[in-house]
Amino acid sequence: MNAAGVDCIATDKARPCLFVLPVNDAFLVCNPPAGVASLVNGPALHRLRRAVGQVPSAPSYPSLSDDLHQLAVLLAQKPEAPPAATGPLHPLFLGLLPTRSCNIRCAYCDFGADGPQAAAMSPALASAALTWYARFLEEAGHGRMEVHFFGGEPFVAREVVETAVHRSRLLADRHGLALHLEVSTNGVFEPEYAQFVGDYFQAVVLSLDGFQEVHDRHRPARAGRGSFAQARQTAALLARTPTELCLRCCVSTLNVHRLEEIALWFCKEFQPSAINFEPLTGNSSTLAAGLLPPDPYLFARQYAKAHAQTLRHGVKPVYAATEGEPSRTSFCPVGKDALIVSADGRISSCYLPQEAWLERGLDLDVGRLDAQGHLRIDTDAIVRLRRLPEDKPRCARCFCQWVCSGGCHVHHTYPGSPLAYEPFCIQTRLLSACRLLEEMGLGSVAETLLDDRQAMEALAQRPSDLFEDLPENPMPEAA
Amino acid sequence: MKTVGGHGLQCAARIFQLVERQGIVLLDPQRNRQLHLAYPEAAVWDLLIRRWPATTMRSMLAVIAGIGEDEADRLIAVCLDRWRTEGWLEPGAAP
Repeated sequence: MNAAGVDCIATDKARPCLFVLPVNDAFLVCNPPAGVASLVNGPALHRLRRAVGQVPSAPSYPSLSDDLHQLAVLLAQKPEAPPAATGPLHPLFLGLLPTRSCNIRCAYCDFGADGPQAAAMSPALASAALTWYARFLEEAGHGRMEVHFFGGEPFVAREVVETAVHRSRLLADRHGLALHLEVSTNGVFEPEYAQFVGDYFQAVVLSLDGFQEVHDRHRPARAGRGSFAQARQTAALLARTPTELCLRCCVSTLNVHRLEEIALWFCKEFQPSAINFEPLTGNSSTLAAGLLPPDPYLFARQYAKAHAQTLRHGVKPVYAATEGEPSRTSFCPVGKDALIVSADGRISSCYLPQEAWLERGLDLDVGRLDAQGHLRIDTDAIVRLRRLPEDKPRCARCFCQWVCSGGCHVHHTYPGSPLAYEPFCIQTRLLSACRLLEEMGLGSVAETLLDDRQAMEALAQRPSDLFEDLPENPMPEAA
Repeated sequence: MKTVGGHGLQCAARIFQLVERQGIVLLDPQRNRQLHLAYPEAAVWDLLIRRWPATTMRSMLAVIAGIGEDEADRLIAVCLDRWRTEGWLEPGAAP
């Protein structure tokens, strides 16, 4: 047991490390957890394959040239498992859902805005969660207090948000913790309020779906007008405050062709810290609104252009599924011990509405906070969620399992989800391969790949990336 | 003229504020002075200038500081008195 009385021990399960992917007329061989990747031609791969055999574990490969021998040794490394999947509770952050209510009506919202859970959290409940969290962090010896606000729109419930902000600051000071407050917002509030947001939050994730016409189609306000003007104004105001501004752009068929232009505009007008492009998740509301997710190949190509443009301006581009270092958990909070408190006192690791994950046969609750302020964490649930990425049949042969780990457990790889790659997988596989190529200084190879639909399909649709599944002779020796 | 928190007071026009990690710093460049507000006083100041109604402010402050509402009332009164005396707040029209 740790100081806070929460101990979660999970066993570790081995995952494959060695993969090979076709890239144009060559092959990308990689061992993601060991941080090794190389682009080789067909004959070199053939020789590697013959020397290394089914299980690449030999300490030396006398039949190989020096370069290939060095590569084979590097590829055959058995890296240490990335940390954080076992051990005591270590919350990624404490999340607060002040309300599910929202002041606009996004066509693609799947956060339950204005649903039955639209009641606001009581400030006392928020305070109880924060008090527990600060005490836990101090007792566990963690120095950083990270609190995220989600919605609905958090600033619809200002009394609880402002109470929680000041309570967090008081507690961080009292317990000697470095505080990081982050909020996801639509930016639709009066200009004067932006100063409060920019002064008190270390990071603001603001949704802005590009230019006015598409933003207003995606994110209409309640009176039938768009929300673009206010969101843009808020972004501009926040850009002048100390906060780190991250602009989040939802991508549909309507704006996928303009990602590079959007990235350039964002960089010039708002100088954000990061720009996050995420493809639309289709649901019945998006269909009714005539919005469709982008073609994944087109998204990958357009995102890559926006990515390059963004980097040129010193801004961090983000497509969540390809970010981060190799790990055993997905990019989402689930499995990382995140504790997200709802207005009714439930504590979950997912910020989606409960009914969304119940429909998928998932239980993502990890505890409860009662009206008296007593907080209970279900350690069995924490362990179960840490193991969730281990049970992803679709991902078993995919090289992206070390970073995306199946993506959203609710939307992408829920229990019983189809084994075939879905659009999320296709764009993630392409962009992950491009990331590896760029890290090797082979950006031009990535560009060639993304300009060739056939080459993209060959990579993205490949049913197994496992080195051990390579055919005996993947390419003729004389090729 | 904007008043704060239903208390008939407003932030003196010449005052600037900086939100810092451990509180709020009030700057009065005309008089070349500053005042560091730690918590919970920083919360009192922020709720005041954000013009929360007095009753809401009292309940919010009670939660923020982990004190009862009567004690929150006393804290607000002490802060207002001090800041008015020192010239950080000045009389304004009632809301």
